[in-house]
Amino acid sequence: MNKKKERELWELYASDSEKADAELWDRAPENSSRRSFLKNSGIAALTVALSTPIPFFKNMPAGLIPVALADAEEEFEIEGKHGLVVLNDRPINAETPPHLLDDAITPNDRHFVRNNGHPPGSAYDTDTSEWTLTIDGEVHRPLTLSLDQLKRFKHYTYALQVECGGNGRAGFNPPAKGNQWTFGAVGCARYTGVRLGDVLREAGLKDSAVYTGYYGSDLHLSGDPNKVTISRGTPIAKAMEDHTLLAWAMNGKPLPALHGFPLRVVTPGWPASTSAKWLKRIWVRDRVHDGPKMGGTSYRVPKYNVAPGTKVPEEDMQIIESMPVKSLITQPKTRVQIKKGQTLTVKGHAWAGDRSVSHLHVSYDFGATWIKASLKDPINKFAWQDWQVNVKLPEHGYYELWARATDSAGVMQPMVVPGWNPKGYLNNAMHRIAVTVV
Amino acid sequence: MIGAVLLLASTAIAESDPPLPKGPNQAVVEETCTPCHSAAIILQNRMSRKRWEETITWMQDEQGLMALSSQTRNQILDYLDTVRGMASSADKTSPNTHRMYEFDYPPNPL
Repeated sequence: MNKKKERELWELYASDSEKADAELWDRAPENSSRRSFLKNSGIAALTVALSTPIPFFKNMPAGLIPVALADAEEEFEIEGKHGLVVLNDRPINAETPPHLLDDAITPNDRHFVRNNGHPPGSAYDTDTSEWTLTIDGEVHRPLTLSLDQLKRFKHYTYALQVECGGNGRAGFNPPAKGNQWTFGAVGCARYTGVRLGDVLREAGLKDSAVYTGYYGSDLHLSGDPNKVTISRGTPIAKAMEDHTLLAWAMNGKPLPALHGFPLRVVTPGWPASTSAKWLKRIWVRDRVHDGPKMGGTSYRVPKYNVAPGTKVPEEDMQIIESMPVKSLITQPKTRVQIKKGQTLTVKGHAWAGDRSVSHLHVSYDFGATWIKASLKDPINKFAWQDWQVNVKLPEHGYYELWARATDSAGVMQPMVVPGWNPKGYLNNAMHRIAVTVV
Repeated sequence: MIGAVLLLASTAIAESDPPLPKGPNQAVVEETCTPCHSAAIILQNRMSRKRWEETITWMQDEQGLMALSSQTRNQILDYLDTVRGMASSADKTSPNTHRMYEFDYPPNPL
């Protein structure tokens, strides 16, 4: 395939992934869904490329590449089409391999996707004239706004880091229940919207207002139209912060369907489940919100350290708020091979929830010694921070490169998986990649 | 829209090859479990029989899973315990789990 054709295909994927799938793999969406079903010739081609049968192929959503292809030793890449690792096809959950998160601002087609249910049909409908956002509860003036009315508030564009509370879950032992995210459930895209605080001020918060409760129009897996998939929220103070947005655009384009078209909350630095998608209603509560996935063990960790495997009583669990300090090595890709004497440029990002990152160090001798990296300031509060350092590995052989961020309060990432908790949240242990010097 | 979702779910069951590994009562698990979610979330997890049972109860309490006869329940639990119990070698058979690190650092036994 020549460069020109590859380029055309990439642009095709960016504008119409179904058409791109049809051209490349002879797969086409069926019925009114966005899923694409591989036809016979496409199956043959994809099977040959993988050298293995593909059990999930019939459920593979358009434009996502299965695990094996994303992980392949031989570089199977559709130029410009970057393979997210699919953890679950129904509902869709997919994370980004670290080496594909190298951009300072995460492009839409490389941002991780987390769904509790199914996107509503309206997520694929370009006509948003009927869309409304209701703000009610502990407010003096309940509001129902169309998107046009919402857009009359002052617009802001910020680069905002969001991370799944369960990023890193796969590292826990005994295994924690849920999607087994490794490192890639994090991103930092540019969002355009209005400040949630401006809208809440317009509605007039009562003194009794304590917490927000967000409601979207995503569909429950059971098909029951009355069941809410997820409804979380935050304390009022977090909702009122300048960088908490009601956003309609991601990297200058309307929110993709999977990312909450036409409107979502972005609560930067907190578990991404507080960044509700397909937003229809904000219920201002006079107590801690109690929607689905606010209670029980959802997004909660024990108030005190527990031994791995402990059964923790519900009253001893507390809600996760700011995510902890963490970093990612995005360059080089793990398992890279370099020649002896070659200088290795190591790059990545670092973030710390509500805090900022003060230092980033790397080690290639399992933490025995540390090399300071140059660390940039975030381009705005709550964006992640880029870092870079040149490393010269002393001898031929196998190395691990570790990255360790220190936040503005002096708190570092742990070396091993920290604080076991029943649902496997908050694994901010250091990212480690493999480098071989030949 | 709900119609489309249910059509989608039934199409997936009717046409997809069983994505679950071989095990006892596999058909019961497919019929009961995969209308709502794919096998992927099952394959990603590994739990004791007791915790699988708690998970099923949670799905009934919170997620709209229907009542199950105790026979069906035990059939499903037998399957899950066999292919995704704590004694199973899940890492080798699941296409969706993959190790995070090159080395493992087990917890300090002291």
